[in-house]
Amino acid sequence: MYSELRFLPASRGTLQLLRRRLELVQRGKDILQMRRDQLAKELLTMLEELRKRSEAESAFLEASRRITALRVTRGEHDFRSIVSLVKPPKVAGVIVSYQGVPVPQARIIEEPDLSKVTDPDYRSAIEELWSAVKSLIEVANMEVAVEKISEQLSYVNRIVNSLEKNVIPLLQDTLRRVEERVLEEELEDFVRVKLLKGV
Amino acid sequence: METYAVVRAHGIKSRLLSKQDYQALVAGTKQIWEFPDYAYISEQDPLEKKLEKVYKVYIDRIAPLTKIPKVSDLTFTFLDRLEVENIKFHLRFIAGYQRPVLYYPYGRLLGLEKLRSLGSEVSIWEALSDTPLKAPKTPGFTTGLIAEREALLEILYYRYLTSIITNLKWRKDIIAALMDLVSSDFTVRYVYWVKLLSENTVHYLIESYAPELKVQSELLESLEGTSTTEILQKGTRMLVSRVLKGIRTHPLDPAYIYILNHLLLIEAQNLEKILLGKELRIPEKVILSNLILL
Repeated sequence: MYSELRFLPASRGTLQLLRRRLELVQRGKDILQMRRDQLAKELLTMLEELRKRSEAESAFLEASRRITALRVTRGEHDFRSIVSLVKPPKVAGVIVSYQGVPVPQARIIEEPDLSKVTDPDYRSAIEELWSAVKSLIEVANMEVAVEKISEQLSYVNRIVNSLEKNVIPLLQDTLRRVEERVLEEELEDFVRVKLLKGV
Repeated sequence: METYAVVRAHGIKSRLLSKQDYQALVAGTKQIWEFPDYAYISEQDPLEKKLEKVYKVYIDRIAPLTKIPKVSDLTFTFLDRLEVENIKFHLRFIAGYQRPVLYYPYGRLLGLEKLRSLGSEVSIWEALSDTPLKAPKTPGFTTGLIAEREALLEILYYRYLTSIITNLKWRKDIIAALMDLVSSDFTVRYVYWVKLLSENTVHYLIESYAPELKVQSELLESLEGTSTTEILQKGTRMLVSRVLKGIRTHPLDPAYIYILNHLLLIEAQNLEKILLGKELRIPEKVILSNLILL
């Protein structure tokens, strides 16, 4: 697209076309810069949330440790049959838009049903584990969102850089060159007219 | 005949693992298949198979005693306890979400195959009504909880066990000693069920189906106010201390067979904990703290 700029005829029409194109590119660059800032701001907010990861991980480890200890204390036969009383949770994958970026997310459709587990020790251990798993799901969702937004951010950044460093200077150069040529041609025309009048 | 059974029981007891054996197993310096009784457990066996083989050893050790006429009924009731546990697991399986459960490799009252084929609670109670447990065909429950069904099953088992003991033609002091051990065992279960259900629910079940079962008030006090896991752990430790006392007071009478059953079952449970702990990579200290060492 930009190689054609070299072969543009030097005319007022070309000049107008180039000016319009430069204006459009500059406006596009400004909008993309704004979007980049917006995404960066969103990313910063998410990074705050990601700090909860270590908390969620240690809660999960603690809950796993508790349930493992209970499993050993009560024996595998008892543990497995009690666990079969728990209705498993339902988790579905959905696509959510973060600042216009589509991000795959895990959503809890249904909480596990522990109503059939009457042993308070099992119940509280399973509840603790589920709450830790929920926090981990939240953190995982956030991590995927951060990853996708970062990808989008770097893409926008690449385009802004390309506009700033290549497209705009090239357009400006061409515009300058065409302007000079048009001016030169106008001057030549002026001189030619003067000479003809003098004759 | 009883004396012969007691001598056999002493022979079986001599094969029990020692504290050092457990420590070596936990530390990994010895493997379970290095012990002659457990030699047919393979390293390649999955955990479920290993556990099945461990409980098979327990059953095989008790089995010779079931062939001795005068102690046969009593020893069968010990093994039937495993089947009662299997019925509880199956009840949970039916009431739950059909995820695979583990069964003990034993069945006499219903049999494992028949139990697995029963697909509803009603069919279980109906099948159990024709067994020595003499379960009611349509039990009257006050709650919809699966725990109430399990509690009734255990109550029926203890009723069955006490009726077998009271019908034994043994000396009165031996019967009294056995009843004392059974009632301690029952008290631990009673405290556990009261914690899960309520005193009224458990009382109602006992009054309705086994009014002859009694709890030991001194044990009750020491077990109250703790968590269910603590109740079971503390209860097992108390029972073991009573059983060990029983070894000294009843070394040559048939009460020793009951004591032996406890020791054998504890060994199987200890091995289950070790195998499971190793599979889950639990620290040695935690595994050891869960074992009942004699």
